[in-house]
Amino acid sequence: MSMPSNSIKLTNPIPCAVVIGVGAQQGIGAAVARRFAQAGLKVYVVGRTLQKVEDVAAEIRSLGGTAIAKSLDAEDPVQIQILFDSINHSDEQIAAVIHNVGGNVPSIFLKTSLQFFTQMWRSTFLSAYWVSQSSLKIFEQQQKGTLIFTGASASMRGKPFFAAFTMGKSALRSYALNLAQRYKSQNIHVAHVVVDGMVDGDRVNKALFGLGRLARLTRGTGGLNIEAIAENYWMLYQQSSDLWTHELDLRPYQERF
Amino acid sequence: MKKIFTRLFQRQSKQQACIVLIGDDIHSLSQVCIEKHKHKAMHVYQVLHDAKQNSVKIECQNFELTLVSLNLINQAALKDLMQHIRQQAHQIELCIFQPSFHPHPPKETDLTQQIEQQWQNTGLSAVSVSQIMIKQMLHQQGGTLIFLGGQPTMAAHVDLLSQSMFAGIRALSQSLAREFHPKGIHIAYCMLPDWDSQNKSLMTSVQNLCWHIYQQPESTWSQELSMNI
Repeated sequence: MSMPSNSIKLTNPIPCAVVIGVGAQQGIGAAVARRFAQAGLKVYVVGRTLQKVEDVAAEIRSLGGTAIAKSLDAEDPVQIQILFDSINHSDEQIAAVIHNVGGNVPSIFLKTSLQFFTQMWRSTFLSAYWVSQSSLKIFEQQQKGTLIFTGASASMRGKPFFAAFTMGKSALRSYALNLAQRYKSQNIHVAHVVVDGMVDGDRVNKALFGLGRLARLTRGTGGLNIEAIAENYWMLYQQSSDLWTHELDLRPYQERF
Repeated sequence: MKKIFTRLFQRQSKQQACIVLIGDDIHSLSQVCIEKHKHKAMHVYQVLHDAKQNSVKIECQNFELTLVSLNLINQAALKDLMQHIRQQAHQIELCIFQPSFHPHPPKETDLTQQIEQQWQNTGLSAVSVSQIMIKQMLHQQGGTLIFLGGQPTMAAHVDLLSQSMFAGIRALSQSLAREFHPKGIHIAYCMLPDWDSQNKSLMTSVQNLCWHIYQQPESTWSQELSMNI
């Protein structure tokens, strides 16, 4: 039986996971951070808002895990590079990087400014580009690593009122799948997760003064559970290199077509 | 049916139909269009993207062709172009957008600037052109907007950024098609193996394909097409 590509040698530096794009405690980023910490990895909880990432890191520590909160702007390549340099120079080995940046904001196409499109493209695509640039260099040195990107329904199909979001997410999907082809021979696993539906998390539930929760509950089976989503990220990380998934779609068992 | 009424209205209002070709390497395609549509008396606008040109610059104008250069992400300049087209009593029947297939950013720029420029020359230009064109087409109650782009390829050797930019435009096209098809605006994405403006045969095929899309009846509109060599 072959060993999982990401199995950790006991004599090696401390294995860690870097989760970028962590916001609310009831969100995909936080759930993924909790799942990797639960398995014993040190987790860097990275997001734009310091208070939010500190809350998530504190929760992980309260459960016996190891977590460090870092606040940065993922669209800034300098800040991303500094983060990875600081981890790389410590006595740690980056086992997995998860990119989970970019929120879904609808807009009326003909009334949307070009600045809004650029802002959405930067958050959904450009931040992923910078994260991959920094993390893949380290993975190449290590000759292993897992890089997972969070996608959405908009990664697969463009719908009205989501032109800006779908442009960035589709670009990210193309990028991730091509990266997967480019780096698989170097024992680097790149995967793209299509979260294809409404997520049972704070972003949806608190949207429009709670109307988001109502929308989620009245569509399909109530949305995707964040802990279940996180379990799939963990599964991807654990996959053996002789059978890697490059794209994984997730949806509730009932859906409207 | 709507196209027939539009054409009848054009005849009454003495408006001449026109094709607008937008991109950074479209001279050959516009020449093919002129040759093909001489007998239809369709005027061709060849709009070249020039990031340094902040107003509409009419390079030349004759009975068949108007050559324009402007910055595609300058919406004031694009509005001025629309106004110019209206003043010429031209009505946009078909608009073809060709994003940069082979980006060559200046070497002195850093990576951040290069990527931002690529975004501006492809995805953002597509958005900017779409907004102006769709408003115009809604006003005239019809029109066809076609995006050209590369084939999606999952391979180790591809230009990652170019592939991503095309994927973004393809998604934009899907989103706009779903929103504006019910309003009578035909929007399609046409995937090409590559862009080689010196290849007359390829340019002719692209023109023929775009013309076919333009002529499709409302009951059977295509949203996406693919061309292979």
